Amino acid sequence: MIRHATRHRLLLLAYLLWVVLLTSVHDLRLLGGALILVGLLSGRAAPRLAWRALRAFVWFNLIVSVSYLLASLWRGDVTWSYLALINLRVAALSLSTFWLAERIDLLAALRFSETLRYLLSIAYGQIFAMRRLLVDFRDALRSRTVGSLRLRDLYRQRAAAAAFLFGRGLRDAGEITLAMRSRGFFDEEHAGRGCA
Amino acid sequence: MHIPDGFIAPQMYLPAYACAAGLWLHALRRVRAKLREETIPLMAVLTAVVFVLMSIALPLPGGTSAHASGVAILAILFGVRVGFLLMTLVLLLQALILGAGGITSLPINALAIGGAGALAAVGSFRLLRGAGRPRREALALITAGWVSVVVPAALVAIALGVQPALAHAPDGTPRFFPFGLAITVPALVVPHLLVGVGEGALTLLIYRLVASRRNERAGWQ
Repeated sequence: MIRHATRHRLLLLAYLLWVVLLTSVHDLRLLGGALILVGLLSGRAAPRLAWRALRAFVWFNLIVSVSYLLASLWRGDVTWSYLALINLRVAALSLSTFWLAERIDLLAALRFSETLRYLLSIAYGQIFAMRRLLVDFRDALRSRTVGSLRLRDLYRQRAAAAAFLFGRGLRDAGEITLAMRSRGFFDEEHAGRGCA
Repeated sequence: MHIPDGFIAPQMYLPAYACAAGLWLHALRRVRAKLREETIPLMAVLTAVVFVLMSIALPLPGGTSAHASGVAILAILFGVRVGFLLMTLVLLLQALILGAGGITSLPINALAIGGAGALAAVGSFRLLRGAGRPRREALALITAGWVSVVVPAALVAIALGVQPALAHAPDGTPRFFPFGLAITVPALVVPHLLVGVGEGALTLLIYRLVASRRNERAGWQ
């Protein structure tokens, strides 16, 4: 387990150094090479990861690139190398992040802090449960609505959903506390081993 | 509103990491000084709530929409330090799960949204709230929601707007975000003046609904 944790901690550290490197390099060939390298490292998952990365950055980059292009055309001085630079860099960073997210065991990498580890593991599980609930609420509203809703009703529905999530969160926190207590988490913590 | 990866120069994000790390440690120490059995599960669950809350679209007049940030309600109910720490966790998870925001922009987003946004929300709420006066409390909550969006938008605009001056090639070509303050400040702040109204309305509605269940959470804060 320790070896597993060390491996993932090193992976996280390598990723952070890689990110600093990608933002310190301004040579198009090097950035292009970095993008190809991450693509090769992704192996068979490359098209799927590339698609996820593209979806994550495409709108913002499109807005920035088109605005820059229009402003440059207006001035009569288009710097194509900037457009290539920023898009290559963002693509390489984004693909690297999705590559990392696919490979890293974040909870193992964060073994140096039990508090952070517990925080993230509980939060991670809750996020998926709550996202499902939110989709259910949205579908329920759609299925009960004929025509379009007033703005006021939409806000009341969003607020009710948010308040429900807060209420449920507070209730769940109590239950999770009981579960952690029953498993001796707080005994370890008070003995100085659990919480870092 | 948060900044994606790749548009902030290391000259800015590395010092921002150092600054944010100091504040994360300080906030964590203060939270841990009051650490009770419920603290970790509560913070984890609230992280999840805010993560999901940020995916709620706020419809705006004119057919557009923006996303809730939830930082005002979080800071008002649980304090600025908890708000700052949880918003950082939310931004980290968003970067890793959704690819939204990013690792290089994380400290700036955390300082702007989680730090300044939470501070502005709690400050304005305390300043405007009138004890036992529902109308003033409502106004304070709407204002808190509004400033929790507008202040971070202004800070993010400044962070982006200084990039061309901070990192550029010898011929002046930008290397990160290309537009200066004259463009970023109005482009980001003006739409968020409207988004803030939506956030304010949502903050008021959530606060009222949560307050009605306050007895359930007595002792959490």
